[in-house]
Amino acid sequence: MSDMNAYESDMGWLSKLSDEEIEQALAGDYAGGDASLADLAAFSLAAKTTFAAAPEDATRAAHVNAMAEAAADLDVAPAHASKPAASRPIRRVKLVLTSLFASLIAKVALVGLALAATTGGLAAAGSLPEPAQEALARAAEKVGFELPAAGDAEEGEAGVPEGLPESTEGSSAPSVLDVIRSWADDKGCEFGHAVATAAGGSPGPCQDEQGGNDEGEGRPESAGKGRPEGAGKPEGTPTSKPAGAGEGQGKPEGTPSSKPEGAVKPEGTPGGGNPEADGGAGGTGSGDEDRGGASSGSSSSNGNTDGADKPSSVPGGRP
Amino acid sequence: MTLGQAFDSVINAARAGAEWAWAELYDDLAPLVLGYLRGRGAAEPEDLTGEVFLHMVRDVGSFEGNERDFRAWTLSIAHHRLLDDVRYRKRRPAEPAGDEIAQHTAQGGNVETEALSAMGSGQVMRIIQTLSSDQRDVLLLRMIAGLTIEEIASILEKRVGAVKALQRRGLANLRKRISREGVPL
Repeated sequence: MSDMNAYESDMGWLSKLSDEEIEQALAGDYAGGDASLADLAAFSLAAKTTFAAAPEDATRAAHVNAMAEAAADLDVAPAHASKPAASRPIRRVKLVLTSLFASLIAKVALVGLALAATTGGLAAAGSLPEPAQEALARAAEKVGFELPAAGDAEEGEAGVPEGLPESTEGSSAPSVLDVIRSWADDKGCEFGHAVATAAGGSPGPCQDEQGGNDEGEGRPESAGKGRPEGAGKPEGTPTSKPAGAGEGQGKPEGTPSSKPEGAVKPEGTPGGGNPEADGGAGGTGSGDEDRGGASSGSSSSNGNTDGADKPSSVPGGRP
Repeated sequence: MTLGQAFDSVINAARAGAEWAWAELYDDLAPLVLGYLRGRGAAEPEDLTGEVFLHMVRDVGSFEGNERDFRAWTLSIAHHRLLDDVRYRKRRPAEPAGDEIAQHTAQGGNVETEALSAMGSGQVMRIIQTLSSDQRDVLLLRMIAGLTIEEIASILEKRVGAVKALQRRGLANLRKRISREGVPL
């Protein structure tokens, strides 16, 4: 009999069997008349008894113990899980940092970030070298930030208040500076007169015996009237070289970094009410006093000394 | 042997961690699992049986159903564990198989097992090995575990018709082999 015939014979045999008979044979309890099916039932029973033997006692005990331990571990697991909760964030942070620094790109980015922060800080402070500071200031200006330029840093050192007018032409600053420089030790009322006069004001008479600040009394008539016409920059700013200050001098005397001894009280002087011309030397420079006071706390310490009259306008007095 | 109406209380006790309940479940199902693994020619059927029951302990919380479902679920674990083991051993060959396993199971020191060996367990194994892997799966799960066609289809992830066809071809092969070698005693 060929294989094909055998196959057809087997399939023909199976097709004659009902599902129930097959179930019985597979269960090993066939009681019908088909000899082949009876053989299959006997084989099924033999297979069941051969393979499906119970494990040995030692194996059973080991398996059951392992199951009980596993079940106990599962019960205890939640309690264990809550214990390391405190250390989880640290571990997570470590994991994040480890994975972050494992990347070369991250390292480069970190170095770049540190450089940018350092450079930015220096640029904001105006402490970079001049060309770099200038370039950065220009670049920052284009994107809307204001950084001190290279020249600004020097101006800052010279104590120039921000926002001052550029031009000082026509101001009395040079003459005032000349007076200050040329004055001898005794800077009393006369000194104040001289300064006020140099500034174009008309000082009042000196009052002997008066110890303190005779504010108001020595004021020019036009004191506090604000800026006169033609008032540009306050005197003594670094950008306006005083005529008598010596050419080529980087900073005019009278700037905070080189204040003359016994410098006159700067209150209200800077920037604000330009005292020159028309006697606008309102010593207390009404509207601009706030600005002067705010920009330099040291100005008050340079105030009137020894009961000297308050000069109506103080060139170089740092705001 | 079945747990019958006690099944619900046993499975609940097992979920609560009662060792006696796990022992009951083991005694009920271990012969079926071990028989299936032996018949499929597993290299270390006892070890695999232990792993199957540990898996059962881990996942019993997710099981839902009756005793018959639980049996099918356990044998599904056994089937997948066997496949994993076969893959593992293919990467690391030179393991005993076939007749060696039959001899090993017959030499377990159990009087009954030794008697069965004498009655032709080796012949049973030889005949079973003539079947294809899928046919063996179907017939062993039918004969040893008593699962239905539908349950086997679910375990093997095959269609019911495919399982029926495997069963028919397997039975035809068995008949042919038995007619040549005779029924093992």
